[in-house]
Amino acid sequence: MSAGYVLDDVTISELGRDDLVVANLIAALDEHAVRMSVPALALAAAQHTLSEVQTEAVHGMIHRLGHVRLEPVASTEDVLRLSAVSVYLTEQQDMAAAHTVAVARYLGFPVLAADLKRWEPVRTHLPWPLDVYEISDSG
Amino acid sequence: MTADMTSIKVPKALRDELNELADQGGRGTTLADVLTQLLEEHKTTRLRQRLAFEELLARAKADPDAVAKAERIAQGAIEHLRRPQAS
Repeated sequence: MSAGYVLDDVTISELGRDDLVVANLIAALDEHAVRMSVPALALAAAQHTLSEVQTEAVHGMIHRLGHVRLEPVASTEDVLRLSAVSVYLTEQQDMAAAHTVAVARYLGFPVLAADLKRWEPVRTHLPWPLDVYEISDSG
Repeated sequence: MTADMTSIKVPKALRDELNELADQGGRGTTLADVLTQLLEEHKTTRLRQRLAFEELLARAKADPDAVAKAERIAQGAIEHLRRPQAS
């Protein structure tokens, strides 16, 4: 399977905080060859909520799992894609969300979110639909 | 026998920082020694990160409820990717 998900900052944060369901989920998706992209700005935002040791576990996940990839803001194209989204989120000043949406749009992946509420205010400001899959056992 | 030596191009500011570290290392410390030490520290950091994740994963896999729940969610997530609206 070549498709995948973009992990949002809350999901990354939950992994670092020892959420065992999220840890097993990421491992299971990796075993099923589902690609998971980690936007650098979402990772940075998640790290604000984590201790050094928790952050190390998240970085370990990025280096250890073969289908997890860090998405940097490294090229002028990356900046253009980020800017094309962040212009709609200037009120929120939510660059983590902007980068997550930019990566999701570029790759054509849904966002994997631990909490749908995190995306409600973002969605209302975007001119495009945003596919968000919530980590929930309720089906 | 000495190892084959080569030169690498780096910005002057970076060379100066490496020289500073070499000076701190004491007499006889070469730039190669500094780079070797930095590489060792990098490998140690990566190993620590991997072990931190491995420990978290081991705890996660030892919890049968969390494993079962995650597997159900994973199946749902994979199904979601197969649906036409998922893009």
